[in-house]
Amino acid sequence: MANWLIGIHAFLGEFAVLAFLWVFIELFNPGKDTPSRLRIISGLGLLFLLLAWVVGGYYYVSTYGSEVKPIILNGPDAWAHRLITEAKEHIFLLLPFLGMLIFSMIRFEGESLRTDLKMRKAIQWLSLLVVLIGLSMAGMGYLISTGVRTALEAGA
Amino acid sequence: MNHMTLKRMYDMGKATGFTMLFIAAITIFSELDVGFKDALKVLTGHHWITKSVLSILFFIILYYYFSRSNETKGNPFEMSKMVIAYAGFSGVAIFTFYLWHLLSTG
Repeated sequence: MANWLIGIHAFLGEFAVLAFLWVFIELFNPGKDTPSRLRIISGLGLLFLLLAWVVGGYYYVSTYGSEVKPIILNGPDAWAHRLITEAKEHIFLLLPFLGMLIFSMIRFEGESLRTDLKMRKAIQWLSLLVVLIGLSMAGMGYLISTGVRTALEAGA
Repeated sequence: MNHMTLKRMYDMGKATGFTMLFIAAITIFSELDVGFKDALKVLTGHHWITKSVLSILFFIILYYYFSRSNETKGNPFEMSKMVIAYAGFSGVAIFTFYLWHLLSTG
């Protein structure tokens, strides 16, 4: 059975992506409630990223290295660890800082978020970056799972 | 938006950008120097935890340093472009390094 920490990590990461996708879309046409709503949504996105960091990190340190990594390395797709896991675990570290920057920009900007077009564009581009990196994390997670599956099928 | 708010935003943007470069640098350097990676491991028990903690400390120190200066340049859009460029560079550098490492070590 798959480790439940992986499910929680994926859930948190995907909901963080959804939160910043929400920020990106809502800023195309902000309304009266947009500043207060986006403070909550970006705050939740940041919280999900921080929790994904802790949960994913705990799984990586406590379980992945001792149980999963040896299986992948003994299978036909060892690159799934040597390239994908190694890149994923480090590229992920960019996300919480980006999330914190977006949350802070929305919080600092306050009510003028509706009228400040340059600020809105800045927040939108940064949110889109979080969405794209977040989606790439999900794709890399799929490749790592594939590495485990092919190794088990090969009898590793 | 007042000057202080704008400055805090720039300070955080700059600290974020440089922290991402720091993450890429410490990641690549730790793979090239086994002794350095071992030292990172000794600090917390795992090199990745140490990198996580160091990146947080690096961000806090940089933000504190920038917040003490009086410099405020550009606009939010320029700042976001800088952060996106640094994030893109850091992500590509990390991925390319591990790809090169995979191909070169077989």
